[in-house]
Amino acid sequence: MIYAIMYGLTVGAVLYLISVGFSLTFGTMRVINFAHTITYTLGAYLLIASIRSLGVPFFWGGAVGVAVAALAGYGIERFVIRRLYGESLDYTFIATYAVFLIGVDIVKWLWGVFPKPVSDPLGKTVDILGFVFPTYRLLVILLAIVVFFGLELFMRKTMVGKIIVAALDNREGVRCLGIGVEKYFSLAFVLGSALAALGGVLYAPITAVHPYMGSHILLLCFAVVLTGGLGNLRGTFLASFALGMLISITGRYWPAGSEIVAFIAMAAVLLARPIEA
Amino acid sequence: MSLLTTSGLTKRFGGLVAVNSVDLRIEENETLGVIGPNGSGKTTLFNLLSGFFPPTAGRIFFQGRDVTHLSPEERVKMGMVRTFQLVSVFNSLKVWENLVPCVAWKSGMYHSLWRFMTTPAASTWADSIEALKLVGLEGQAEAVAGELSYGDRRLLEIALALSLRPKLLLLDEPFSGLSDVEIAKVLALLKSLKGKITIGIIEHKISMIVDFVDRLCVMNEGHIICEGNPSEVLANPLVNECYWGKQETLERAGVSGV
Amino acid sequence: MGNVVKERGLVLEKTFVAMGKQLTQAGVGQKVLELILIGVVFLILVPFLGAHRATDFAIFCIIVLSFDLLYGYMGRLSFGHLLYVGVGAYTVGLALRYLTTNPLLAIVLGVVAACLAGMAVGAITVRIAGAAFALANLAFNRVGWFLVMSPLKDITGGENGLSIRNLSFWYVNFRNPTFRFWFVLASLLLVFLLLRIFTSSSYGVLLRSIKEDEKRVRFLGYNTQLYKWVTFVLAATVAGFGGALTALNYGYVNPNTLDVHANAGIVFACLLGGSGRLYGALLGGIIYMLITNLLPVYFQRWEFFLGVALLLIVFRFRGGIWGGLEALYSGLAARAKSGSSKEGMSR
Ligand SMILES: Nc1ncnc2c1ncn2[C@@H]1O[C@H](COP(=O)(O)OP(=O)(O)O)[C@@H](O)[C@H]1O
Ligand SMILES: [Mg+2]
Repeated sequence: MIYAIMYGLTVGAVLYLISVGFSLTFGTMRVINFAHTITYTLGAYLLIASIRSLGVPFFWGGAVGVAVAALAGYGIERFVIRRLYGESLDYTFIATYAVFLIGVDIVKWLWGVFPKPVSDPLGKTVDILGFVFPTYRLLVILLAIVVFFGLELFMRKTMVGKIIVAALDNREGVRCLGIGVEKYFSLAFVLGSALAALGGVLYAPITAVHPYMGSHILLLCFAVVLTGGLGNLRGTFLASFALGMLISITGRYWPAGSEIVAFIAMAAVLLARPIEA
Repeated sequence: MSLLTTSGLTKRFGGLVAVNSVDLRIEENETLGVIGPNGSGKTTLFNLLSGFFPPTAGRIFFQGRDVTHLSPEERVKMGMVRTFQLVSVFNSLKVWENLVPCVAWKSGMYHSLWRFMTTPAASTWADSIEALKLVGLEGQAEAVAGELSYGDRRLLEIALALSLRPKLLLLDEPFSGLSDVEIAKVLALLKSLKGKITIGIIEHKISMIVDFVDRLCVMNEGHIICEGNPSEVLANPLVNECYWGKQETLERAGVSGV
Repeated sequence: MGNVVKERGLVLEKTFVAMGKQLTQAGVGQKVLELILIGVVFLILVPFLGAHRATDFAIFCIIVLSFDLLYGYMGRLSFGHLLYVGVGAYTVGLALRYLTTNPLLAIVLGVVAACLAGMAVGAITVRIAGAAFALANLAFNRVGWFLVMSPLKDITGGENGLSIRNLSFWYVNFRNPTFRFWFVLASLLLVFLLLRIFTSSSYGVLLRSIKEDEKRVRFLGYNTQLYKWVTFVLAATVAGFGGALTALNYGYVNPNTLDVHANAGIVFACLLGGSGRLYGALLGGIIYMLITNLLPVYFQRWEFFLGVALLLIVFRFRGGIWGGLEALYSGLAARAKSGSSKEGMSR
């Protein structure tokens, strides 16, 4: 049971890292960025590529992954999302889905379709009260918490953060202010992409890396964001861990159902609180 | 009995109280003007009345029934119909098609989903044209609504509202953005309706509606600061003050003194 | 009690009278002509593709038509439409295995099952605004896929799929490709006719109003949630019909029928042909199938191709092929008009 909780926390941590970016774009612009999944996948693959072909250590490989994925995120925002700004959100969804398709195919082309394993970069375990945990997982959880507090600070202390918070609270209001909100959204977008890639990098040693790894996780992110409340960053944090737990604990007793419970939770939330605008 | 009454109607947007404990009353078949400077909460008041969003506090009664928590469509079915400050018609549809949902509703088609779904839209053509005749747009029935002039689209929106057979028609600044000719058209139309149905009309230029309405309500900063028949209201110094500001009121007084 | 029954009977009677009137009304000639035209197009396809593939094309057109009702007419983009195709197909497969030997009954069951699934999922997702609707449906599609693959593996066959044994019954023989072709073509025409009637009715206009501005429609006194739900269920039902036919056409159901990522194909076909126009959906369905069947691109870099094509459509060709043809036609008409008026002036 303790192990299930531990695993749940790890999943929650990764879910949080990926969901934050998704939540930022969804909460501020109601844009569902399907390409978010590809930045996440890209992060993981670049990590593997740099470890295998450049021979760099895990943490530098991760840095490369995050940096390149952030760049890709910028490209997506600049050339796809911004061009569709103010039009029907459906087009943005279709366009980002198209980017996802293109990205997946490029990943397949470069690295093949088969899952790639990544070994635990630390390979150490710690012993807490007689339970043995991989140190790496503890590190992942810690990192998610650090990111959470970092974001809280960022949102409260910086101008960009304040504007994003205002936009999450009242989209129309901020748009009316006439500040070039797009600039700030674009920044939030890149930040979100970088975090998604970080999630991909961190999750790689825990799960298998394969071209479609992102599309599955995106649905979970969607569930997280809905459960946590649109545009509610703290809610996203809590919901990530709650869903992570739910998945891991269900998985312990009913392995086949671990995916479904997340969606049941989502459906329940939707029933209680539909998205009306 | 009044057709519509509100008690303590309040709407907050965060820290801003856009409508602040308003007690409004509209009598059957009267024409009520709501005036007030920009941002005084007129549109928000109409939004509350029509069910655009729920009030923070207070209640709304229509024909003696509490409608505070009814959905917009239920209010429309009871006879509360509104138009929007920014003209809101279906730009991608043809002019006559805009009216189809309204007249289909009227002809009782609503009661049978199957009939509604299978009777060709063209069968409502005659009714649509009749509704368009009211506002003089029957000549443009086949045009796409988005290609009409702003004034014509305003007329179309009024035609939509009228074809729903309103008991209470709420018009939000029906003259804004129109040319003088178009204003005259709309005003003539409204005058022909006066006394037949109950009309609530928002306007921020008093002069426009002063000889048309039976009664005026003046809003400022979310409150109704004064109401009564037009001449009374205009004579009220409070109104001038909120409307033109102290300085200008004095100037006006000075001008009229000379 | 008796009164209620009587009333119901009356309503039923009225409905039939209305249906009859509908079919005998003016414009029937045009509809018949349209149906014949579509039939001829498919008959022309047969010599080139063979009956089996032409049948496949027609089934795909049914699915795209149902999607077009939801997306093209009502403006609600769903990325989970294949769920209903899958429900229809699996219900047929299971029904023919465990319940009945009559394929027609199985089709009915498949359609009903898809309808029920649509009712349940629609009740939740229809209330969702914007692009979140697309994703929520995708999530449900994923759940369906997952159910087939894992918890229900024992009856659905999981990855291996489900082969159907009882394909022939009485005169109904789904083993015969020619029979399948005619049956499916008739089904396509039926679906087209129904959707043609629905979309040109007041309800069709209402759908287009909802697409443009749902909130405004509520201020015309319509409970838009209800109409959105009805449309969702209708689209799901028709898609389920398509799924049932797929199962019978192949004699085999596999999980690919409700593969989440295949939804992009339907969206693409609909946009390619021109959304919001039934002819666009037909055209898009046929062209999409031609691409996937005839281009080798299908085997490699297919997703890349699809992605680029989707981006092109979104950025450049929103109206799709049918929209392009319409624009061309109206452009030509305008030119002809201005040409003749110029002539008149010079004279
Ligand atoms: N949806 C909204 N969110 C936040 N503030 C709003 C909203 N609608 C109106 N307001 C504010 O409420 C006040 C009253 O607005 P409104 O009723 O539109 O005024 P009027 O119609 O009299 O010009 C304004 O300060 C406006 O900014
Ligand atoms: Mg206003």
